[in-house]
This record gives sequence, structure tokens and C-alpha cells, in this order.
Amino acid sequence: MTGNPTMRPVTFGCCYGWLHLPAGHNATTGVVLCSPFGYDALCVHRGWRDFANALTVSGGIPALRFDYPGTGDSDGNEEDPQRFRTWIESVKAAAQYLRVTTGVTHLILCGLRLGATLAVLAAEELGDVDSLVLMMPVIAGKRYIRELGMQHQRWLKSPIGRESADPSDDGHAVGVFGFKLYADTLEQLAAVDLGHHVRAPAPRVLLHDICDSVSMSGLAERYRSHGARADVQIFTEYDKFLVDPRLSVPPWRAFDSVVEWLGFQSGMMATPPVEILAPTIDTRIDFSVGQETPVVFGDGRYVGVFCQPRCALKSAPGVLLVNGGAVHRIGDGRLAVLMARRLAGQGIASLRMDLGGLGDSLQHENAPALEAIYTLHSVTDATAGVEWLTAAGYQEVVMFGVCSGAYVGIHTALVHPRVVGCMLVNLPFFLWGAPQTKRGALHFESIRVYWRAIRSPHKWLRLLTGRANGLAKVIALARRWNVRLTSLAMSPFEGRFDVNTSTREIRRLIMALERKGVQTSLVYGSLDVGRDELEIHFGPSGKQLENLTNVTAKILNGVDHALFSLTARNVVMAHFEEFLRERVLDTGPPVARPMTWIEADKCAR
Amino acid sequence: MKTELRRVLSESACLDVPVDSLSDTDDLYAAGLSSIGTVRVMLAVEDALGIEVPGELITFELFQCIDSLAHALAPLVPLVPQNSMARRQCMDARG
Repeated sequence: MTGNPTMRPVTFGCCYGWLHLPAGHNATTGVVLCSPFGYDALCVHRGWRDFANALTVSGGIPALRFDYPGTGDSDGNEEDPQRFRTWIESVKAAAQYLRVTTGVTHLILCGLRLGATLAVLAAEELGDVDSLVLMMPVIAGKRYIRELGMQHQRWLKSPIGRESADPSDDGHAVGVFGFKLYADTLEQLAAVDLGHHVRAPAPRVLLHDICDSVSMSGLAERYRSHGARADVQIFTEYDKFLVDPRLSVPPWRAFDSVVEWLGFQSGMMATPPVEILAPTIDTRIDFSVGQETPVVFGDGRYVGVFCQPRCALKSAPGVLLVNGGAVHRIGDGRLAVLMARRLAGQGIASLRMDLGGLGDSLQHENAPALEAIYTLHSVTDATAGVEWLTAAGYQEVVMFGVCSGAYVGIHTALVHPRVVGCMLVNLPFFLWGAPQTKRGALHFESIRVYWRAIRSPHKWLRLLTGRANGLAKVIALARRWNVRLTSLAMSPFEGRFDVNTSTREIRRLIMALERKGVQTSLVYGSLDVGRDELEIHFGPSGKQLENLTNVTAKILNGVDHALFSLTARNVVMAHFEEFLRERVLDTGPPVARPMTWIEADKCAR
Repeated sequence: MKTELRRVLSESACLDVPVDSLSDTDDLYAAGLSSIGTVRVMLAVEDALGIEVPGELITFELFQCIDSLAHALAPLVPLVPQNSMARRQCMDARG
């Protein structure tokens, strides 16, 4: 133990969480952080982690953050029945866990968006919560449902959204960007209106609002009329926080104001150091076909979840799932969790990990930006994951990644001798070129999307009225065609002269995988921008790869870039299973093998 | 209508610049309108104008500028005295 605050993965009931403790803990007050739901939770994950850490430093108090049942790394699925009720119960269980584990006697619940609403409902039932911090709470459930519906409508209007819309988008479920609320949850949520509750949920309530709204000030007034102290603060950084995780900026002013309101010394603008502790031996999530154990490895730098099948397939490789973009290890639409548990059902173990600086893993020195995390560190980080799986007894490893995770997959497969296969979904580029994550940078679609747009009079109107940045898009397309034409023109000379083109470099990379014998599957959605890159270098649908034995390319319809659509996730998961069966595994029925929990625990430590 | 839209934008859009400094054709996205901000604006517009915006209208282009909003929403708005709308204060843009 150092003098730094610590964070340790914990489980209680079917929930996975993190317990943050200050150095020299003797506090009598603790805080439970109630995260928002769905895509919001992905956006804020890293900032929420840093906030928990800041609370331990500024306030010297323990903080518990956790995933609701059916979300994140917790057990269950979002479509399971009675989610809303279960989530309220989970907040109460988290409060109980915090009290028992740390001995605190005073409790703060702090929630963001739907998490704030759950905090209110749990506090009303608990009756002994001292302070409530509600950051942009969902006051009326119906309105939140409408908000999710609007966001989803907007996504469906995009070319890729249209292409990959779920056939099940029939109104029985509402959600956006890969997360949904289902019928009975919607019914319970629709009945929520905090503005009509008849008592204050705690003696002290802090409300964060984006502007001085009637509903928020009305809620504060209501709480005051019931004898509580209720304050409203303006949350100006909200829109920069609840955005794509690549661009999300922790709202330190808002966090600071919470710390101050709670009576602690504010000013924790920088992220303080934290030590990640290994889980205790009883930390695990059990599910019908397997068990998941949090793991901390690489000298305490990296965090992951090891998913072990109950009935292991003999000699099966371990699968390593890495981040895509800045989304933490669960993946967009919770793909990595769904994939891991589905693989466990087929006897295959997996590790889903956070690269350094992402999710819950430690930041690299000098806190590099996302670009640098991928260009400078990601392969080293993923290599640590491969090494962990190898140490856990998996002599062979298969990589799986989406988007920038696919970039990590292909380059790790190239350099690590234990990696025998990789599936790369919507690989945006083979070699990292221009910055990809600059705020405000223009987003370019695939050539096919623009080709479709050409046939739309509406798009022409936008272009001609200057409302679409036509010039920038034409330049981007011209660049792509230039690379393609250069590639075509130079390819006959590449072998004879020392002519260096990007295509030559990329072909060398692919040939290196071929020679190494790495079973490599490149998978693209039909409208994905990465498909352009494939076709620039390897012809239509990657036709030139057909001559290779170990490398294949496949175009899948209805698959969006980040796999927001459930259909896309199911298609890709099925394709990965087929890939493992046909290209990697020795065929044969699953062999019952006792699960080596103890070994896994040893590895985890 | 545009006056009301400007009021809604100033209270719920969280732009990087004051709405007063924007013309009716200035790009709202360039002025800092975020994706989540568009949803907030739409909910506030629904409250302020007493309408429900159909899904097919909710596009990227809808929020491009004040003109595009006014043009798309005008057919949905009943003839309501402007001062009755103006009495409303910052409308909720959250759940």
C-alpha cells in the first residue's frame, strides 16, 4: 500500500463495481455514484472514474461506483424483465455494501441523468441517506423516453443508421446507440415524475441543471417545502461531457462544485494518482455457462475481466478483446460482454481489457491523447493482455477488435508469436495516418454513401446552398482516388524497383500475417468507410486477398461502424464464432473440464 | 416564431456564442450545438410551441440554422399569440 488512494474491483449480488478508498481511511461518510444509463454511461465512464478518485482525495471518503444489473460488466441483460425495479434495488444494495465494507455511517448518493433518478427513488426507500447530488436528473420518465426516441430517430436518418436499422425497431423498446429500455422498464419509467413526490429524499439535495429551468427550480422548491436544504447549480460543461467517449471532457468545474457543496476542499482539477488493487478472492460474477473474474495485471497498470467457461473446449485459444475508440472494455452496445459470455457458452475463454489510459486502466506517463495511446502504446498494452492469457494457460490467443480495436488487433497479431488469429471489424486504416479524433474535424463517410447522396436532390440542394461542406468532401474523395490510382499504376513496378507507396507498405503488412500463419479475417459493413481503404489497396471487396491462404475479407450487409444495431452485433458475433470454428479451433465437441477457478484467481492476483 | 426559437436556443442549446450574435442563416453546429443539444432544443421547442415534432423531421439538417428550424416547424405551429409563448420561461430540455 502506498500513500495514494486506491481502487479495487468488487462484486456484490450480481453487480460489478469499483471501490475507491482514500489513503488512510477513517471516514464516517461514504458516497455511492449512480451512473447514467446506456450510451451516456459509455461517454462518462472515464470521467466518472476520475470523479470517484477525486472524491477520495478531496473528501477523504470512500466512493463506490458500479454497473446496474444487465449493464456494463454486471450480470444479466438489459432486456431481462423488471430492470427498473432491479436497478433501484441495486442502488440500495450498493449503499449496504459500502456501509458494511468501509464502516461508514453517513451516506451520500450522487447520480447523473437516469442514475440521479434512481438515486432519488432508492433514497426515498432507504430513508437514511444524508445527502443527494443529482446531476441533470431525469425528472419525468416520459420525457426521457421521448429524448431517447429523438436521438434514435436522428441516427436512423444517417445513411448507416438506415442501412443497419434493426427489424425489431417496432416501438417495443426505446434506446439509442446500442442500448435499449424494454417494455416493462419503459412502463415503470414512464410513471416516474419526481416533481410529484410528496417528500424530500434526503435532508440535503444538490441539483445540477444546464440552465435555470422551471422544472429544476420547481423540484428544488418542492424539496425545500418538505424541509430539505436544496440548492441548484448550473452545469455548464454538460454538453462536453456526455458526448462520444473520444471527445468527452470530464466536467471538473461541476465536480469541484459538488466537492465544495459536500463541505470538502475543492480545487482537484488534475487527476490525482491512484493505485489499482487486485480483487479479493471471492470477487466474481457467476452466470449460467461461466464465471467472470476482474483481473489487474501488468504491474497494476491494466484492468480486465476474465470470462471463463464452465465447460471448457479442450485446447481452445483464449480470446483477447480490446477497446475500440475511447469506449471502455465493455464495448459499444456492450458487445465485448455479450461476446465473452456467448463464447463461454461454447467453451471458449476470453479477456476483455482496457488499454492504458482507457476505461479503468492507469494512464500512461504524461497522459497522452487518444491518438498517441493508439499510435505509441496500444500494441504494447495489448501484448500485456496476450501475456496474461498465456500465463493463465492459453498457449494460443485470438484477437478481436472493432474500429481502432481492429487496428490494435492486426498489429499485435503481427508482432506476438502467441497470436494465431485475429478478426478485425471495420478496420478504418491499416496504418495510422492523420489525426482521427480532433474535435470539430469533419467526418467523412464511405464513397458509397456519397455515391448514394449524388442521387438525392435534397443533398444537391444542401450542397448548392453552401450548407454541406462539399469542397472538403470532394478533396477527401479525390485523395482516396489518388491513392487508389497510384496504387494501380505503381503495383507492376513494386517488385522490380524499390518504389515505396502506402499500398506497398500495407501489402507487406498483410503478407507478413500470411507468412506468420495468422488466421486473419477482415470484416466490413457494406457502407463502412474502412471498406474504401480495403478496396483502395486490395480491389473491390478485397478481391486481391483471395489468393492468400490465411487472410480473408468479407463484406457484411446491415453492419454499422460501431455495431450500434443489435442485428449488426449478432451478425458479427455469429461470424466470429464461425471464424473460430473453421479457421482456428480443432473441431470436436466440447469436453467437460473442471473450471480452474483457483488458477484464475491466482492469475488475477 | 424566430424570436421564440432564439429564446429556446439561448436557454437550452448551450452554444459557444450568444444567440444574438448569430444570423438566421449562421451554422448552429459551428456555433457549438452538440448532438445532445439538438435533442434538448427539440424538447424545449415542443414545450414552447405546444407541438410534437414528428420523427421524420428530426434530421441533422433541421438544426443547421434558425431559418431551417423555422421553415420546418412553421407548418406544425398553430396560430398562437406570440406573447403567450413569450411568457414561458426556460423550458425543460431534460427528462
